[in-house]
Amino acid sequence: MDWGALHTILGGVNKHSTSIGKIWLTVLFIFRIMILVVAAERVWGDEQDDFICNTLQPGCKNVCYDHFFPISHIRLWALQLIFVSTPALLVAMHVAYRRHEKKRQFRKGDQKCEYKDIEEIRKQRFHIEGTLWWTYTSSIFFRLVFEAVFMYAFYFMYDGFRMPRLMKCNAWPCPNTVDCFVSRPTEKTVFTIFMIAVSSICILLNVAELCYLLTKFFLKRSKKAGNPKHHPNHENKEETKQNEMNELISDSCQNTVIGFSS
Amino acid sequence: MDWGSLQAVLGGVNKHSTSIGKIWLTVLFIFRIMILVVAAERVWGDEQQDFVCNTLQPGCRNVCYDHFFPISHIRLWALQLIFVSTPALLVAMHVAYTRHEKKRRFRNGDKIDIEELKNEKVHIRGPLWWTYTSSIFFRIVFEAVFMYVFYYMYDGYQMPRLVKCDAWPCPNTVDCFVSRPTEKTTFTIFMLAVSGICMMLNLAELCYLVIKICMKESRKTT
Repeated sequence: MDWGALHTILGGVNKHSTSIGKIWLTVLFIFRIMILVVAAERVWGDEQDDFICNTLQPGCKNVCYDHFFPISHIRLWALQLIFVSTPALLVAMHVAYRRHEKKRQFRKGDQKCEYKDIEEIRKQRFHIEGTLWWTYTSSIFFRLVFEAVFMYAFYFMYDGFRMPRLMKCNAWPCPNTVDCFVSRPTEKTVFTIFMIAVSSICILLNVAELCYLLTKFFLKRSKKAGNPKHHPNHENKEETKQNEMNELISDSCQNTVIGFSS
Repeated sequence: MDWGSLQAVLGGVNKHSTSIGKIWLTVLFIFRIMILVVAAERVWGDEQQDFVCNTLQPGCRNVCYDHFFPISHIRLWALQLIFVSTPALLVAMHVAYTRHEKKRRFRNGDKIDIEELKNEKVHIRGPLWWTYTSSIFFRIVFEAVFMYVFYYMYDGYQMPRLVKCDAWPCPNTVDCFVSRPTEKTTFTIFMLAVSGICMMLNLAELCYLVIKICMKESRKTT
């Protein structure tokens, strides 16, 4: 189970997202996860080995490192990316549940079910309306909350986003005050700022998506208030059109076959 | 999520590229990404471990290394490759959007040829031409910016054997020796050369697209 597996799981959610949601997912995978794996992990790779303190006292380096870096940046980013990705699974679960219900209806031979076979149910793309809208909107809200919480945790834990070159440590067993030097501080600062910037871009995308969904919802409501008679048949109309499309495609396929044979 | 996944994502874009675009993608993957992963990362692997300074002062080596190598070559190349690859995703998104629109029009009952719907290749014309041309333009800009950043940060493309450091806490001036300077210089020049080739391919592709559209316009007027 690694980042590739997460990519596979979330790729499935992509189908049911809005365009902004798809852009957000691309930014997440290419500018955050990929940068983390390919570059940032190497930069922080020697963080404890090359954390050097100006003392011969055994144990002092360990204690100072632990004091100044309670949780490493890399681990915090990994946690952040996992927490931020998982609300999308709520949507995936809801879609799976809907599909399961439709398959159950189909198998029972329900007259209302208008699908020709199970393959159609599996391939169908659900529109973001009704209860799915609420699930989707909650998932975006949770994403925003997690992003904000982690950004604050970073700021709080490391007193800002800059990595200092030198830290003065006086934790026991260090004698008096000891100078400790961090490995690659400039490179670490650059990557921290980069990850914060991309985090902010992701937050903006999520806010934009939330506004888009709310606007769409209110517009629909005002249309319904204007035309109450058309509303009950709306969903049936969509599914009927989808069936007509499928029929047309299958008819055209038959005609092509007949054309070739004659 | 690593270079292999990037290849999977960009492989899909390949279908909608011109021939020069396909050559560019191949050069990118084989002569840049593969060289980075297979060779360059090993060369720079011990860059801090074997950066040796002529002093016993604790912390001096760290500080000097940080002063002379603010961002390692390897990370700069990784960032460059990611930024240079991503404009191609604009094209992929545009193609996906065009297909989605066609399917929606078909569902609404408009007469769309089913063969056209099923046809995988989309021609580069209309708004897609603009998206494609902008993506090439951004590629060229990113390549140029990173090449300049390299030049500016490391005062040229040669890796010196010795650097003189006087940052605190180093006492006075201290001699520090870089690990594998010749090998690093060779790879830096190699990556620079391939960068140059990629830029030329992008320029050629841009010229080709512009000439194609100008010729089409002149045919329309006559």
